[in-house]
Amino acid sequence: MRRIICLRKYLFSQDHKIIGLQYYLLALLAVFVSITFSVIMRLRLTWPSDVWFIMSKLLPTAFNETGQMTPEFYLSLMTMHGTIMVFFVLTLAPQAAFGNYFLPLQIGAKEMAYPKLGLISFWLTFLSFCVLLSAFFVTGGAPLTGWTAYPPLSSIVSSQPGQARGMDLWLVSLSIFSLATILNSINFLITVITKRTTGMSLMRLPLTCWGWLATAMVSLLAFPVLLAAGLLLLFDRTLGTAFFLPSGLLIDGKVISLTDGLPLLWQHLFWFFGHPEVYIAILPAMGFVSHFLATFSRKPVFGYRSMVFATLAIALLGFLVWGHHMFIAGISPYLSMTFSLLTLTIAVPSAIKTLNWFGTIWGGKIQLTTPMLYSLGFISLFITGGLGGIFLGQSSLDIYLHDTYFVVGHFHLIMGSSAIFAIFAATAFWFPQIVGRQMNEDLGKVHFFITFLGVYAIFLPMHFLGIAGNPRRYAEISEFLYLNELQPLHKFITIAMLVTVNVQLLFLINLITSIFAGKKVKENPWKATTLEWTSSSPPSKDNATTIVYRGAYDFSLPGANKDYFMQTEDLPNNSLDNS
Amino acid sequence: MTSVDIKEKSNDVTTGGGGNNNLDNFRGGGGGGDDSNDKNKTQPKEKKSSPMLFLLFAIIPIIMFFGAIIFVYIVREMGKAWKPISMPSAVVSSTLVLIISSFTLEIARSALKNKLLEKFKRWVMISTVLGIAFFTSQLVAWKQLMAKGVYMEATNPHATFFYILTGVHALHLLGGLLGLSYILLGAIYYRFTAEKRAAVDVATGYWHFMDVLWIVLFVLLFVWK
Ligand code: HEM
Ligand SMILES: [Cu+2]
Repeated sequence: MRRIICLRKYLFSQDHKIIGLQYYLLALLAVFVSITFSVIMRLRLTWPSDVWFIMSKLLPTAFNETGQMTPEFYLSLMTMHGTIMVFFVLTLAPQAAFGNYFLPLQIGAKEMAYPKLGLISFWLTFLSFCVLLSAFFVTGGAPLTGWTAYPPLSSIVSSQPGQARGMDLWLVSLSIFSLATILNSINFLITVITKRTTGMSLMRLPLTCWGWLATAMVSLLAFPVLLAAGLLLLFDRTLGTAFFLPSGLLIDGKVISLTDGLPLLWQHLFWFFGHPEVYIAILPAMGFVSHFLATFSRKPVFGYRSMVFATLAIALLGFLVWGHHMFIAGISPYLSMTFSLLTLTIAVPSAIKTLNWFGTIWGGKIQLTTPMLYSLGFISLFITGGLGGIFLGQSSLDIYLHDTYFVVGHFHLIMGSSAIFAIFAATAFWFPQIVGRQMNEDLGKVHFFITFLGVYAIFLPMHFLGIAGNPRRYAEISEFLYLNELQPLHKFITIAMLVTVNVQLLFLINLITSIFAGKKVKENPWKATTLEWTSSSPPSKDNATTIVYRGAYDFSLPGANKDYFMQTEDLPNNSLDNS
Repeated sequence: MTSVDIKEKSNDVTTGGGGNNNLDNFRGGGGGGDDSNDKNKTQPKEKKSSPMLFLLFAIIPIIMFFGAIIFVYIVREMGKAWKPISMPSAVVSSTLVLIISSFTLEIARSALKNKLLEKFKRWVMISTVLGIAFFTSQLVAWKQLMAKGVYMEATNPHATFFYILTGVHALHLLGGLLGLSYILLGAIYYRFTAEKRAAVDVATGYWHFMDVLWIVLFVLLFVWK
């Protein structure tokens, strides 16, 4: 009996806070699994011929007779690394984890609109993670197609060992994941629309909530398309259809004819989802950063309204640019040009946001706490990564840079590293609210500085590798003379990676020890304005809800007798001189 | 800046930041006393979520899902391998049955509005039977095609689309059928709380949507060229 209660309370709880934590832990598990894969990949890339005794004992199928890891295994790791990072880390942590936990708290709701839906979404997501990892253990192993799963490689079961059951499991996993994300998004949208407390008008929402709201809208429109494409691909593989299978291919010694499927269709569907997906990762992150910058500069967010509109504009424009991933796929040059132009227009709302961030910190009383440092790190990485994007958005330049390490460097900076920095910031910022203690600031600062320099050391040189012509998704470059000269740079990247990855243990240690031994803090230690700080920390099961009287960022109001007003504070007449 | 703030405040407290007052009638009254403490400024208003809103947000992803498949369909139709299949006759009866079921369901719903529970029960039952008839008829259509030797195979895209579109649509309609069974059970046991009445609205709304979707698919598969 006790045990059942325990299960109800922690495993199958409908409390949005528990669900948020479960998502966070899943993302944390996923990120460490995926980083491990990337370490193995880098080692294989840098020291291809070294024999790996321990691994070859553990995973004999991944090694050939000479004791070298097979290129196929490298590609499997790469596929799983990308898939896990994009879906189980960047889609889950900012949106599902922090969103489930803090959205109801910040809008003053007692719970999400549909608590059961939250529960179902989480366990579906968990199931999909298990299905994904199980691809390693079936005959043939995990798929090799990369996270983009382009046909015909992905649609032909006999093309590679990994393209057998492993690919099916990958597709099933992502279908379950899409379903879970759609349900979660419905829950988010209805919560924001119906559950806001009295006085919480849309223009008083914290920008974090705008990020979650926009992301839920984008997910609701994008994930069904991935689901449809994934099912069609699965049918191609299992039911003998040929949606994406062109005619004239030689399969198992037979030329297939009269199928007339179009691999390009997959690319259209995939990137119609895939490009918005990068905004799914970055929009909540942008919300976090806007929020933290205001709090730690003790200034209102600069241009709150333009921030909201930029968020919505990015969400909308995100659906119109998918073709920039297909410049070399044989689409018409006019279409390329259109996509190129549309891609560059996204730079406008992105630039508005960036300038507003500078406007927010400009002249503020800046407090360099760890969440603030991570947020500043985010901005730096976002700008650097974004500059690479301007190159890739030109169809003429992308023809050269596509499928080189330039792309790898670009998206690791802008979506990988910067979103992860926002997650670090959010963790450090909200930790006191969740646990009632603070994470260690010194440890956090050391972690920040090394990681910040580390990701630049890893991903900036990748741009040069790309310009020098190093293709991506290659397990080995030692066979190519022109690439041999790049090997020292690869070594440098790998060493930087080893340092940076190990420094992540600092974060983990900080996270775990702070739960038990962190500095105890009073309520609202950052002197923030939003509603989550009005409920006790650690929060009790029931959220306190109160009336909201003001916008989310009333810091340093002119003439006010104190530095900040919480959203719940009615305006006392004597606190302002009504100038 | 500060004066703007004060103005905003006085506006918003009274309107309560809601924004979906028109959906109020779909909110169950079960919780009770939702709106009574509106004037009491120290207690925030507690809100219930809206089932109709849920329906709307469920329909949007379904439209995107089918939209993606329809996009593939239209592109593939222009290809060389496209050999149109002839329409299995059962599809026509499916369509008629489904359209009629939408009407019978509307009759049931208005009966419930007028508190005619017996009539409501009868018409929900009829609609459910019609719904099941639709599934049967679709199965017959599959049988008819297979009898003609038209299978789901790579060389016949039109046929594969037929099987897949009808199959996926049926899967979604199954959800509607579950909804109908749920309100039918409610009708049989005469348990009609406000929450259940909202369920009737949601189930009928979903059913109509599936009806329209089927007509679109029908036109796409056999009429539109
Ligand atoms: C320590 C940090 C990381 C390292 C060292 C790393 C390393 C790598 C490497 C070596 C590749 C393969 C490149 C190739 O062979 O073409 C790769 C691919 C990829 N990584 Fe990472 N990565 C890291 C973090 C991340 C993060 C945080 C993300 C989240 C977006 C991410 C997303 C991806 C994706 C989407 C791919 C592409 C996979 C594909 O080509 O299908 N990575 N990464
Ligand atoms: Cu893109």
